[in-house]
Amino acid sequence: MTFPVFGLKLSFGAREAVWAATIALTLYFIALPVGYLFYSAFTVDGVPSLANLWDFFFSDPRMLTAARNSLVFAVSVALVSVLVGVPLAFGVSRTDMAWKELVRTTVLVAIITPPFLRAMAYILLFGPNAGQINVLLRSWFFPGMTSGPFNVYSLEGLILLSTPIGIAQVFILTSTALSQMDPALEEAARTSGAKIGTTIARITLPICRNAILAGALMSFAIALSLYGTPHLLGIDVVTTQIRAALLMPVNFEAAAVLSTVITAIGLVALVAYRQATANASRFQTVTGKGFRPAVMRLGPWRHAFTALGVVYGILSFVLPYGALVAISFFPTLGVIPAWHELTFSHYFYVFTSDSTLRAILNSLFLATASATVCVLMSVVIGYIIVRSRSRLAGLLDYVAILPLALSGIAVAVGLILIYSSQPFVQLRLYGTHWMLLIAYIALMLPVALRSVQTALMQIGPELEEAARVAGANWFQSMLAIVMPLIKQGVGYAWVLVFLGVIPELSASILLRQLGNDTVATILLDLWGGAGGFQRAAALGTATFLMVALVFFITRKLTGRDAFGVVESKGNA
Amino acid sequence: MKISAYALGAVSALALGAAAQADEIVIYTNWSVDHVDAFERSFEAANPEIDAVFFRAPIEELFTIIDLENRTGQLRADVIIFGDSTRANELRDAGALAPIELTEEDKAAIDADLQDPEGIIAPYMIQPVVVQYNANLVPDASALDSWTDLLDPAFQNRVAMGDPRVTGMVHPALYVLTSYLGESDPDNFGWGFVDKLATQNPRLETGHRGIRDLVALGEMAIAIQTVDNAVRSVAEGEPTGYFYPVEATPALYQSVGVVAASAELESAKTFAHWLIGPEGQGLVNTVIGALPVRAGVPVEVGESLEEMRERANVVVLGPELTQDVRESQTTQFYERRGNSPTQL
Repeated sequence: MTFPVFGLKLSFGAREAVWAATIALTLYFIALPVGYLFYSAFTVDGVPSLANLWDFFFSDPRMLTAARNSLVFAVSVALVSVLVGVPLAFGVSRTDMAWKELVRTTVLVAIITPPFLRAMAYILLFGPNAGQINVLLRSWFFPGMTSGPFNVYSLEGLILLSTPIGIAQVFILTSTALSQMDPALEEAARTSGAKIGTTIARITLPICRNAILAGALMSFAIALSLYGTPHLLGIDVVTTQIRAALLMPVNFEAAAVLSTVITAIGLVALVAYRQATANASRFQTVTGKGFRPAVMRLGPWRHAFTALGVVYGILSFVLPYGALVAISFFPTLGVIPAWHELTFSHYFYVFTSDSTLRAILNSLFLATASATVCVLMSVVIGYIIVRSRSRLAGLLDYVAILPLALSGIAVAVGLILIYSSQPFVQLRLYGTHWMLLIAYIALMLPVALRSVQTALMQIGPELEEAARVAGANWFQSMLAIVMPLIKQGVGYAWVLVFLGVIPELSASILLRQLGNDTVATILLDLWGGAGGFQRAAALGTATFLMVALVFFITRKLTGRDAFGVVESKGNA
Repeated sequence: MKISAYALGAVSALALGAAAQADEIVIYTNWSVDHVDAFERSFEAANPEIDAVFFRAPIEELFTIIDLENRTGQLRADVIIFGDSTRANELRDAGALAPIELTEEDKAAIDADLQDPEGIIAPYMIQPVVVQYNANLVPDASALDSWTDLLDPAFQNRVAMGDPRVTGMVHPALYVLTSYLGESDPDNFGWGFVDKLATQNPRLETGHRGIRDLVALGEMAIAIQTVDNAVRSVAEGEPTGYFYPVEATPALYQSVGVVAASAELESAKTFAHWLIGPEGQGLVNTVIGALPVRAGVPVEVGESLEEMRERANVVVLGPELTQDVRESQTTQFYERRGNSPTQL
């Protein structure tokens, strides 16, 4: 079918219909809530104004403190992530350190661990007064102290608790770059007499500079959007203030302004990230040509790398999950039980309670639906970006990755604003599963898109052209040629979104309504007041095991040893 | 409850919205999950023709949800169990609630002072607010009897209380400390007391069950607590105790209301009548650990109001805690406490 538009004859067939529908959905899922946020923040009664920004942000010391805390928090997480993530990535990818696979697995586990779950565990371990590690340290080294030496309820505690997910980002990007780099420069340096330390400092790390920078920026953006951990520790950051603005008395304007502030900061990070990754082509030594750089023999230094990996594994995995598992069997808090007193009752509750079972079912359903929609949209969007040379492709690329700059809580505010206002209120979506589904799709689309886009880029257009010549239409060539070739990438994208949605908290907590509790919201509810720490620990442990199972089955089936570039925004 | 129905509901809700089943009533409450489960079982056993679906959240969050649902014309509750009477009064005054219509027997059994003159909402529970402590961290528990014990320097960084932004049950305590005692004993109480409390760097929690857990663990030594959590903690063998502050122990009476627009109005009223009837009132004490409002219902868990009054000045609160009062208390509390303890 051909339509005359502005004097041009545009051919409009099934392919264009699918493209148009996908672009419209992308704008609906992403651009609409973000646009509405900005509109609400920068207008008063429909008239452009900065009054809200002044009233609810710049003139309120509490908000300024929260913003400052957020920035210090996010920058610190990025820095610590680089300081720990780069050596770990280097050690695992390029050296003869011991237990590499164990360290790699431990780092990747951080991606599927909800940060607030780690916070729960660390409250039990490093609570200043009764945290078990603190109690132990006081009894051994500081008998005169009644509190500390560590205080998890602090900005420092928040930074350290949130760092593992940042470390994972830096680790993945840096180790990928390290394992794909051309070793010729390093070999030249060594041949010229450079010592190993000099080679690493002058050659290896500069080559990975962009990957490290990209990892740091992702860590920054993720930390900025975290809600659960600062909420549990009682630290005022922008996300917790957004939630507070939506408690009685509800202040939509303040929520919109704060959401805009955090989105604007995230956008700056996103643009910087795009710049960092866009310039990667200048470093042609990092390519996908299948180099296998030699393993560096570090001598005694290998033990230092091994020690770093072991300490990280203990702090990020063994201790928190050990604490959660232990307390999940305690019959009574505050009383150390004998072995025979340990109980399965909290697990029994988790798997028999209506509310937790409903939440698990909701999470599974929403994760499945989100993953499916994200993947379907990603195939079309990725195809347009990769195959189309129009400006539309560039624009779509930007819109689709926009959620990397978004906090889940900001997306939720946008959705609440939209669906409680005319004309969208008529859709009666507020309080339904649709709202959660829209939020998850908006947040997770870039994760799916990255994986699908990478797969599409590896297919030359010749095969499709041949199919067209043979008479196949676009749908037929997609189904017969493209899809079979990208099915692994598509499957991987599906799993990534699924794993990201299960522990999502920051959007879910604002959109929580009758019948749409998720695992994350019920977990927080159990911990905060509805059911007790032991049940929360049991549900947290069970959830982790469920997600980990999917994670490891996927790794086994796909044979991929790293998570690709995972911009995990889902578990804030 | 049928889990399969929820799974199906999750799917159908996408297509059909939140269509209620014919005999299903939705009850909004701030009760903990244990309480919800017990009340649900008992009510459905007594009324098998009605399916009770509970939605729980902390009070302030719950009313935020109610507010947002009202704005979108999608209030899904049939019954609202109010954490305090003020919110009930506000919805009543807005015409959002239908009269529960107490029977003559109910009217005779419930203290007339607690009853709604218009007969729209009904009181169902009295919840005293006490001070809970970790018995291992308090050298002489028998010496504790006053709000001022919260200010003991030994408890620096070890005092917990509800976050007034989120949990409504901390407001009765703030009210007696700042207004009630502030007028009768301004030297020791009033907002000056909160200033002193702020120097203890109190830990703010979003729910009283969480406070109970922190006190039981010993992370917190002493806390402003609701009596139900204090009672249940002791009953379950946790190393805790509690006392009624002798100067004034606030006791908030809480109400139940039926949504006028409910599609299941009669079933909703059936629940309300059951809750204020002998069985529901018995559960208020045995399950929740709070005080029933109905005369003749034995207090098996904790102490009765009369017993409390032998040791403390129990101040029963209700409509005093208006929305304005709560907002004012929250604002002043945060101003005096300062921002986050980790502010830079």
